[in-house]
Amino acid sequence: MNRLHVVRESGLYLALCLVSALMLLPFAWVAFGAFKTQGEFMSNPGGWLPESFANLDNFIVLFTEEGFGPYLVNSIIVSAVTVLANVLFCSMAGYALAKLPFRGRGLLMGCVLVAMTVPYVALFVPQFLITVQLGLVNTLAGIVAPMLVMPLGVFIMRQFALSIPDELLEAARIDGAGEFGIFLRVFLPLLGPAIATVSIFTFLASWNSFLWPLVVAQTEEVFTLPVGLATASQASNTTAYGLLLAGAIVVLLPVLILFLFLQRYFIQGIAATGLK
Amino acid sequence: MALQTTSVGAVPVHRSLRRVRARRMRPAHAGIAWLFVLPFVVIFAVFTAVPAATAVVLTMTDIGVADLRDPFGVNFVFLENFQTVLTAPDFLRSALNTVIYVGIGVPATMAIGFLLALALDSGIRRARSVFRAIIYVPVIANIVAAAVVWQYAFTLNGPINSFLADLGIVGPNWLGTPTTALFVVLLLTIWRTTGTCMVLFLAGLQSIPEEVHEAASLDGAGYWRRVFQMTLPLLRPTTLLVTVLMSVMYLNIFEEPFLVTDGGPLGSTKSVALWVYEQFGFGNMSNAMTGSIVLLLGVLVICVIQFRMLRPKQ
Amino acid sequence: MFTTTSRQRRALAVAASAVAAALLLSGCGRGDGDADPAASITIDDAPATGTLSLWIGSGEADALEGFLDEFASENPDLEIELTNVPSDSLDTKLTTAIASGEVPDLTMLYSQTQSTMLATGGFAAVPDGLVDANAFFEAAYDGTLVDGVSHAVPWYAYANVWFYRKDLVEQAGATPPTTWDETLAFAEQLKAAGHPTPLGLDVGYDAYSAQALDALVHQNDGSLISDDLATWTIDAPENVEALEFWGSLFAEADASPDGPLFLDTVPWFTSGQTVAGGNGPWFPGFLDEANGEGWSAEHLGAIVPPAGPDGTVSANFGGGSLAVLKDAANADAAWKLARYLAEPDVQVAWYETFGNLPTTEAAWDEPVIADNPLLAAVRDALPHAVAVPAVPTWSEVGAIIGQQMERVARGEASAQEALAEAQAQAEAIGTGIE
Repeated sequence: MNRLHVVRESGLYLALCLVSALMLLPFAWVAFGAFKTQGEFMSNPGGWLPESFANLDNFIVLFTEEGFGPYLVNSIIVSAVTVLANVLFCSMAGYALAKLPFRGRGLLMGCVLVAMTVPYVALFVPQFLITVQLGLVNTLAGIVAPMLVMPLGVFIMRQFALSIPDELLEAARIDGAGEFGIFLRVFLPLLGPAIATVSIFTFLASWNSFLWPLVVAQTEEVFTLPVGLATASQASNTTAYGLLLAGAIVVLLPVLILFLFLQRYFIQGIAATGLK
Repeated sequence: MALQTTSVGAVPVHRSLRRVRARRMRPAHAGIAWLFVLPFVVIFAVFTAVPAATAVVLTMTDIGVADLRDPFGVNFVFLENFQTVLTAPDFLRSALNTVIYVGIGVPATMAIGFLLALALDSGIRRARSVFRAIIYVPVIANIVAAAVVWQYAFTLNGPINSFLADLGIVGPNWLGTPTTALFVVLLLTIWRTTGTCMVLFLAGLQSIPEEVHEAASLDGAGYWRRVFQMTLPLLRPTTLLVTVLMSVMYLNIFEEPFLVTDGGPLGSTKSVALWVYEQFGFGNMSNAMTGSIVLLLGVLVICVIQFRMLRPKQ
Repeated sequence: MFTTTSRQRRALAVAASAVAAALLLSGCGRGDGDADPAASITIDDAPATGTLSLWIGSGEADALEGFLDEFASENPDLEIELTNVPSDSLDTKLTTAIASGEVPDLTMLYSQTQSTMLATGGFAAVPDGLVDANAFFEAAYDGTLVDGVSHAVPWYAYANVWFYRKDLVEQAGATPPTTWDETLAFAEQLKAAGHPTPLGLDVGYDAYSAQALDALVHQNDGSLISDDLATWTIDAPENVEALEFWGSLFAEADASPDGPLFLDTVPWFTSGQTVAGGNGPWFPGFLDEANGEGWSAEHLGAIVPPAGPDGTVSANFGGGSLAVLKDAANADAAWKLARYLAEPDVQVAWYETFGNLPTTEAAWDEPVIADNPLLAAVRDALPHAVAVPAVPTWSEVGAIIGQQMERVARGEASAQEALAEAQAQAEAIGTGIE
């Protein structure tokens, strides 16, 4: 390492710290705001620090009056089912699309790509009508159903599967294993990083989803956190800022923890998909 | 991970192998393959294909808010809606805005994301995962809270203008002036999407074999020359994916302008997706469906062009 | 990857045309609209039974939950399922629910979008004799009408009035204005006393700004829409004059075209940057929250919005009503609850619980409301208050008018040009009423 390197590296650290500060600054305001009263927002909206960090009222109100406890449970159920279903179904579809030639495969791949680009704001009315026909209105199943197999997940799994040498599968085939056996015993064990990637993407999508659960959930028993956050923060003729920001922290923490645990595999997973 | 390296050199071999095997595939396999894709097919058919087909049919009708209880009561007007929508000034304005969002947002986000990925991949040796996590946090954050921060930060007497005032600059009315409002919305979107770009590029960079870099540095090539002549061409597949993902994201941009400016001032930040949502709110179901089909077609055309342009060279 | 075989393409074409044909065969084209039998139903005085599902916006819902205890005890065999709906999303949720038939029994509607929601045809007419139409403020009742038939029960009401800093106005030696002319003089006096841009106007340039213009238009004896609600009359001369007056407040720097916006309103009023401006009756509460209880009583005055050149008083009406869905499973209980919540003494109790003001004129005589000095202006304004035009396209047209108002506020267009443009766009949209 010569001196030039050291100078350049220090410069980079400095630049990265600056970028990080820009990324985190808004969160600092959110985090501090979670401890403020509505009066503090009204009198000094730009204020930085709350009057007291011991003011946990916003969190208390969220979990007592606003029923965040049950919403949190619902959100966890919805997201857990979404992630599990996507890991299983997307890897199945990805495996077939990459490794099993069959008639209509090109068309299906086209469907995956189109589905990735659809503006869903346009489809929620017809989607809702179908959900009604299926009798899934006001159920957690109805909230989960459209998210069970996300096209991005299928795409990632298919890209990942492409990077697995055919020889591995061929060897198992010669040993007399059926396609399901190969999928379970050869393909699935290799999936680690891709599972992390799909888990994070699908968890994020279902955890933060708002419009769909809002429409499907007709009573509070099936509300999820983002819907609860909206009801808690939209007071009459104004916004309850403290509740909104405290709620945002509650919503953020589980995803943040998940990401911190999985981030290494997550990036490996994206790398391993080969991005072809 | 041995798997990571396969993406670079081994592709042509796989392709030819697959082709050979395809011919050997027994018919029974096709049935099994359909079983594997069945869950996707079912969910896609029920929650995307059928609603989309319904939407397409409805674009040819005069469905309005009064028809919701009896959708079969509509009249067919065929392509009239497309004529209405494609000549509506506010739709054209939002189409132009969307083009601006894509035209500025996609290259800017990708450039920033790529530079950050380069810095994290080869520039520094410690605390990589810390920076990586911090830069990714905005991606996972709740947009409603982030939008409040943005709205407040850029109000007339807000922190940004106070800061500028300290420097002796009179800050503009950010959210009240068309050009600056667009800029503020873009800034929020870039803030929210840079992390995704960075992570994808980082993954791409990590899958470039170490030997490639070593060979190049032995040649004595300068850093930026290496980036342009070696790294970028090798990253072509990554760049394609990132371009497509980002373009789709920016073309469908909705929450940021909806929450920060609600499309104003003077419609200067309204995106096509937001226009569609508004039309639903106004009860103009046929316009909303037509606008979204136009948007979908636009997205598809752009994606196809990108696939063509950035396809790996043979 | 996007290639399809010609066979697949043909299959898709067949499927698409099959769907289209199915729609056509099923007899497209609207009927004359079925007659609504609901109006002839009578709602008796027996206690309600069964299950009643109720959708209430998130502001009111939390308070209403406990408030309904009394109704629940009067109707012991009724189970009430109250759902707290994010107020911004109530309309979206109702629209999809109506489309599917999976609806609540009773829902609240906001006055600003009430006509659009009622146009879905998803709501039942109010049964004859359920409530006394004359008991309500006119603006509250008229907003519930579809083709002259009431489809909702007015629940709470307010009129936007002018609040002003009585301490600062006194220091400047000014008196609060009662007419447009006095408003201009009032602003001059305040500016001379060191308050630049003393008036706070609605500069969101959206449908709410258009509503503010609507009040000015009525003060000038004009209207944005014809009496039969079939034609927009946005660029009528009286309306141009009203917008000219509004624009002159910016031209004379009596008001700023840039604010207050978003969270600024309370701090600007507190610091004296804004000395006077229109707002709803909840505004003193916000100021108290920010500056301590009692601040508003000490610093604030309220007046009916200044009258137009010929002395006509008008103000913006706002509020909420309760509507029963046509597909309701328990319409009987729904109407009974709506009737209960429209009783004057219940409305007074609701004001004491939550602060929403009564729609029935009788309730305003109760001391708890009548003796509140900051509410006197609201009460005086309510009989003259005008609701937004009761047509389904108002949200859309209002947004257009709001946009055009920005051009006037910034001096980019004359009032005549702006309203002519708004009129042209509004005509293309129509009123939604034939």
